[in-house]
Amino acid sequence: MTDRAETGNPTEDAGDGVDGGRPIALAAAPDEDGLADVDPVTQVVDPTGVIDVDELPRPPDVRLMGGPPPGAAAVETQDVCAWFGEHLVLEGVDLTMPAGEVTALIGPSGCGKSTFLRILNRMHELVASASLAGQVLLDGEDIYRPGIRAQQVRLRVGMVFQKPNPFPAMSVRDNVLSGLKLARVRCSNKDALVEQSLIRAGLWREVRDRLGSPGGALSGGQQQRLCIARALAVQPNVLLMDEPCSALDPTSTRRIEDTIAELRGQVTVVIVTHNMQQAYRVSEHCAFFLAAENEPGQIVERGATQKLFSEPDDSRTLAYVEGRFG
Amino acid sequence: MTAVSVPAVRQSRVRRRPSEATPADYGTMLGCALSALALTWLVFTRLTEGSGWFGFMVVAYFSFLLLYGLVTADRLGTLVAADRVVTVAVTTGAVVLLTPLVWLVGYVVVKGVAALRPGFFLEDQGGVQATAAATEGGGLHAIVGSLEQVALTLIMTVPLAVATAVFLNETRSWFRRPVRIFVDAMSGLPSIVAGLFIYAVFILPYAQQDIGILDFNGFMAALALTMIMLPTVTRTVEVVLRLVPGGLREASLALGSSRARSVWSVVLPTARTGVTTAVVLGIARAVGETAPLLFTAFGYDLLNTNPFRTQQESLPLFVYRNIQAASEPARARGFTGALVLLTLVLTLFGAARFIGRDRTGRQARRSRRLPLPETGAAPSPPSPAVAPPPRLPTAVAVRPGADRSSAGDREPPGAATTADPTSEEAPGP
Repeated sequence: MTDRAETGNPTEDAGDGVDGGRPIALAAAPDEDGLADVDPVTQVVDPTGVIDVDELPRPPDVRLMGGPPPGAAAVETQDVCAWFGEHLVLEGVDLTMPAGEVTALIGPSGCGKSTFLRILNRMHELVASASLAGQVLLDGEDIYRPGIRAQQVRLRVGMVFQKPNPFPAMSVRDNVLSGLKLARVRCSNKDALVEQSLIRAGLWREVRDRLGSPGGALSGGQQQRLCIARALAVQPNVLLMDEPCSALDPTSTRRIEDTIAELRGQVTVVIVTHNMQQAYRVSEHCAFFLAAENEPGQIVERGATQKLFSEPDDSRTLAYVEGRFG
Repeated sequence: MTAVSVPAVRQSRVRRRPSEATPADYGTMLGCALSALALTWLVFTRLTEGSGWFGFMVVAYFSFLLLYGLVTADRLGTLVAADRVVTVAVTTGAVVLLTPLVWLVGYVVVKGVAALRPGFFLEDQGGVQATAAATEGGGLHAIVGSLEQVALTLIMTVPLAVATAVFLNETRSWFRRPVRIFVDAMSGLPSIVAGLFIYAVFILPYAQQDIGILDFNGFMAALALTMIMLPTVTRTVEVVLRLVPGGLREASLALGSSRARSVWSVVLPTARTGVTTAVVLGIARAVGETAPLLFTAFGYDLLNTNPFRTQQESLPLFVYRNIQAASEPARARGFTGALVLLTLVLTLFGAARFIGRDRTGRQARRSRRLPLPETGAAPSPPSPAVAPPPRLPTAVAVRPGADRSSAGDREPPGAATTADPTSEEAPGP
C-alpha cells in the first residue's frame, strides 16, 4: 500500500493518505474530552469533518455584495434587562464577548440565557409582549439605535436554534443559499459559497453528492449542521447558538463542537448550553446565569472558562459546574 | 435440506396478529348469520304473521348480534365477545351511512348514462326541438360555460384568499379580529343571496343601457361564485399556514429576512401542497353552485365562448333547467348533465386528495396488508417477510424527510421552544 502510494497515482495517494492518517490524528487528540474511546466508532460510521479542510482544495474566495462587513465582531452588553409583559426576566447583564472567540452561557433553565441570546440579534422583539432596556454594542455600535434596521443586525449576527429547522421546501443547496435570497445579498460564485459553507459546517463530505435532495431528508445531526452552514453562508460577524446540540446524539454533538473549533478566529460564537462538559470543551469565556425563585435572571459569575470551572469565586457557580444542582 | 436446517421447535411457532380475525372467527360469524336468518324466518312465516321486509331485516340483524355475542362469549370469553359485537355494530353503522351516498351516485349514473353520447361533449342545444330524443344535441355550451366561470372565479379568488390568509396568520394587526369575523360570516352567506347581490348591484341598474359587461354574463356569475368561494378558501389556507412551524419563520428572520420576504420565500412554499388542496376544494365547491348563477349567468341554449358578453350556460344551470322541463327527453338530458357534473366534482376531489396526500406511513400500511405466513419458520426477525425488500432502500432514504416535514407541519406553532420564550423563561406575571 505504502509502496504504491509512493510510486505515484496522486488521486489514490490523497485518498489513502487521509484514510490512513485520520486515526493517528485523532489518537493524538487530547483525552480530556473523554471521547477518545468513541473515536473508532466515529471512524467506521462517519468520517469527521475536521480533515475535510485539509483534504479538499479550498474553493475560490467568494465575495458577497450587500452582506456584513468582513471579520468577526466583538459584542458588548451594558446593563441589559428584559421583560415579558410586566414580568422582568433578566436584570442588569453586563457581558463582553471578544471578537473571534467562543463565549458559553450556562445556567439552569428559565434563567434568561436564551432571552439574552435573542436580545443580541433583535429576535427578542418578535415576541409581542417583549420589551428591554440597556445597550447592546456590536463592534461599538448600538444595535438598538434608531435608524438601524433589525434585518441588518440579524444579517450580521446569525443564529442557530435548538431544534434543527432546515427549510423543508428547499434542497440542501437552496437551504445554504437561502440567506442570500432572503436578505437580498448577491454573491459572485454560488457554487463555491455552498461548498465553502458546507465545509465550514463539517457537512460537505456527507452531502456533496446530494445537494439537490430536500433538506429535511438529512439526519438530525446533519440537519443541524446544515442550519449552521446556512447561517455561515451570509458570512456573519457573530454566530449565536441556542443549545445547538440538545437534540443530537454524542457523535453529531462532537461534529458540531469540531465545527465551532474551526470557526474560532473567523466568527464570534456565543453558545447557550446545558452541557457543562461542552461549555468546558468549546469556550474560552463563560458566563453563569442564575435566577432565584420569582426573581429575574442575573449573571452570577463571568470570566475565563478555565477559571470558572476550576476555581470559581462564587460557591453557587462551583455547585452548578460540579453538577450539584441545576 | 431446509427441513434439516430448521429445528423442529421452530415449526411449532405460529405467527399471529392479536387483533386479526381468524378463519374460525369468520366461520362463527357466517354460522350466526345463517342461524339468525333461519330463526327470523321461522318466527315471521311459521309462528306469526310477518310484517314486511323491513321488520324482518331488523329482527334478523339483532338476533344475529345476540347469537354472535353468545357464541363468541362461549368460545373466547366475554371481553372478546364485547369487542366483536361492537365491531359489528360500528361496521354496520358505517355501511348504513354509506348507503345514501352510493344510492345517490348510482341513481344519477343509471339515469344519466342512457343519454351520454360523445355528442354531448361536442354539441350545444341549438335547434333541438323540445320533443327531440335525449341523445340529440349536447351540453358543450354548459361545460364551456362552467369551465370559464370557474377559471375567472379562480383568478379572482386565489390571490385574495391567500393574501387574506397571510394577513390573518402572519401579521399582528388589531384588524385581524374583525376580518376573521367577516370571513366567518361570509362563509355562512346563503349562495342565492350572493347571486342576488350581484344582480341588484351590477345588473339591474344598467338593464336598459346595453353595457356588455354589466348585463347577464359569465363574468357576473364568476363574481357571485367568488363570494361563495372566497371565505372557504381563505379559512382553509389560514389553517394550512398555521401548521407551518414557527421555527421556520424564526430561522428565516434570523437570516436577515424581512417579514414579507419570509412569507413569500419560506412560509408559502412550505405550505404549497396544503394551499393547492384548499384551492381545489374551493373549485369543487364553486363548480356545483346553482343559485348564484340564476340571476347572473342566466343560462342559454347556445354555445357562448365569451364570458364577458351576453348570457351563458353552465352545468348546474343546464341540469336545473332541463330537469324542470316538461318533456321526458329533456329530463334525461338533465340527468346526463348531472352525471358529467358529478364526475367533474369527484375528479376534483380526487385531485385534491392526490395533491394533498400524506406521503408518510404509506410504507407501513402497505406492509400491513401483506399476508402473514402460516408458520414462522424464518429464524430472523419478521422484517424480510413483512416489508417488501426491493423497495426498502429508497423507502429508507426518503422517509426520514417525509416524516420530519410532516411531524413539523402538524406541530402547533407555539410548541417550538424557540418560538415562544415566554413559555420557558417567563411563566407570566
